[in-house]
Amino acid sequence: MTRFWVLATALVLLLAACGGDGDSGDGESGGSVRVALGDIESVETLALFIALDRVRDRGVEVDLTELADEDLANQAVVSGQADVGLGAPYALIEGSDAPLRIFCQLQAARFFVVADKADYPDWQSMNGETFTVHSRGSTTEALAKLVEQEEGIEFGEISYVEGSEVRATALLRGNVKATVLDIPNRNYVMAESPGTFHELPTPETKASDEVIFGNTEWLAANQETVQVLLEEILTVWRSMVDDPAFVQEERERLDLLNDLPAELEEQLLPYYEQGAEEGLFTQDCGSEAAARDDFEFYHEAGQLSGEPGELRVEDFWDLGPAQAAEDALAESGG
Amino acid sequence: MTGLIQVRGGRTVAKAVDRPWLLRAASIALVLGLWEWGGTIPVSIAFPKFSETLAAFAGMITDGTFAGAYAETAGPLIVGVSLTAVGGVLAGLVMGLSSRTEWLGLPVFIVLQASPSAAIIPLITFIYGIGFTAKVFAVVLLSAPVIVLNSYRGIANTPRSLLEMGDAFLAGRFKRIVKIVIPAGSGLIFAGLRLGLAQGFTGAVLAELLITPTGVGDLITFYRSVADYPRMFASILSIILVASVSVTLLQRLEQRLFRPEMRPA
Repeated sequence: MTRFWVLATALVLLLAACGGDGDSGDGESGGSVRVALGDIESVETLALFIALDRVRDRGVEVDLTELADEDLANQAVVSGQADVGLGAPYALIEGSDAPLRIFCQLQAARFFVVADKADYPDWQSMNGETFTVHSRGSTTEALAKLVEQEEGIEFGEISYVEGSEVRATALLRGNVKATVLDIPNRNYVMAESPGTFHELPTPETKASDEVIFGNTEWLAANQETVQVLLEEILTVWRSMVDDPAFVQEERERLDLLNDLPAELEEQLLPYYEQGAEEGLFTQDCGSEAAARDDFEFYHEAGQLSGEPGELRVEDFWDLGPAQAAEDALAESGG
Repeated sequence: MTGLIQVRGGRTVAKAVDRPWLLRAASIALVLGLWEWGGTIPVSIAFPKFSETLAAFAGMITDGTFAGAYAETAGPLIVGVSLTAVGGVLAGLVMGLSSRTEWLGLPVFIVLQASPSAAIIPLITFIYGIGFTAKVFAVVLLSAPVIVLNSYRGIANTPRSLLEMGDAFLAGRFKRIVKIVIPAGSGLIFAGLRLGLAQGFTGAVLAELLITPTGVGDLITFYRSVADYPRMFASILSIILVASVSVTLLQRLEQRLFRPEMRPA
């Protein structure tokens, strides 16, 4: 009988050892992370999908949920249905003391103001005119307020139209004359009606368009997983800035977004080339400077009610994980 | 209160039934009490207490937030429901009087009534863009089926005895319609208009949430984005209150205007 138990124990240990090897592949972590993304699969989210696939390759189980908007992603993290989310949860952290901390800036806010060339040749001509942004309290509205301050003008009316693609269509149809667009829609408008529209210069800012944030308890309990996640995000973000074709190559290697329509596929490389050129993809997770810029910017947008100078970075950000990931990459020569 | 508990005494039960407002008030108090309790636990960080929501509600009334928002929402709602009231009642009338038109039009409105409107509304932007017209169309899309179908049923179910009486008095087609068919169907037509207004309000709010954020839809979107949950819940509560109060008032008007046999079952 004793022999039976010894054999059985040995067998279980052997199977466990084999199982462990098989699960982690060539990786080293073995944790898991549930990611809430307030967006759908698209050209813009491809870089994140690549990073998450590489995290999977390192033995971390990744469960990605796509939600209709960023607010839902925030709620998913707050309620514990997701460990990390993507968005800009400043208002949620300030307004509800939600146990969330931002731990990496993924994308800096880069805006492209496209206006009818004949009607609005410069910002001064927009004094007293209607300017269209995403929604009340959005970063695009903060941009409108910054423009008013910097250019010494006052818009007649700020109108709200959600979705860059909707504003692009409205611009082409003549429903709006000047609005804020993202890179793909700026390219689309310029290609559809060459010579009709032009870009107006926008203020420089390091503020975040998209950050990754997590539940504080989860961040503390899963430091190794967070490190793997950030190392892969930084590696992908740096690789695509060095060579935007990296995204294309990784997409083919990992077989991602394989049902992307041909016309969107054509936008893929230009998007990452222009994004890299415009400084869209943050190379160091943002650091304290980005947090301070965010305080100014989101205060202007109405998302933060506290005075920017009085807000404390540690109440919104956890800078430790990004530093640890950077150090690890520097050590490994990444 | 003791009358409600002592259910064994037939008189006390009868008393409670005689005073339905007491049961209604108890039901509302129960829901609000559960809400307050749910906010105290709390169910979620984003779930405020009823008392917080009430305070936000009062604040939004006094600072004019609601007045401004509802003035904006009312525009497409009034235009949309007015258009549908005229067109819908006419369509119902024609469908109720002509079997060819009935076969042509009825399936469209039945399908429209059964289809998920929230999925259709974003499609409106492809045709009508993002402005006022798109919102009016959203109101029409939601209110038309109930107005048309109620009007059709009111007209098609004109009592045979009344029609025979018209024949006996040698009434012409026009007189039959004006003096018999429309008055006989007026109860159902009015009920259709009442329900159409409620549906139209849903359409207006959906359009504000799904097309462009304006009016009361913008209040929900904005307060959610800045995590001001008491105000967000107060906005939603205001929609429920406005819809309930307006539909109840119209129902009272309907009961006053029409004889019992003309009211819809």
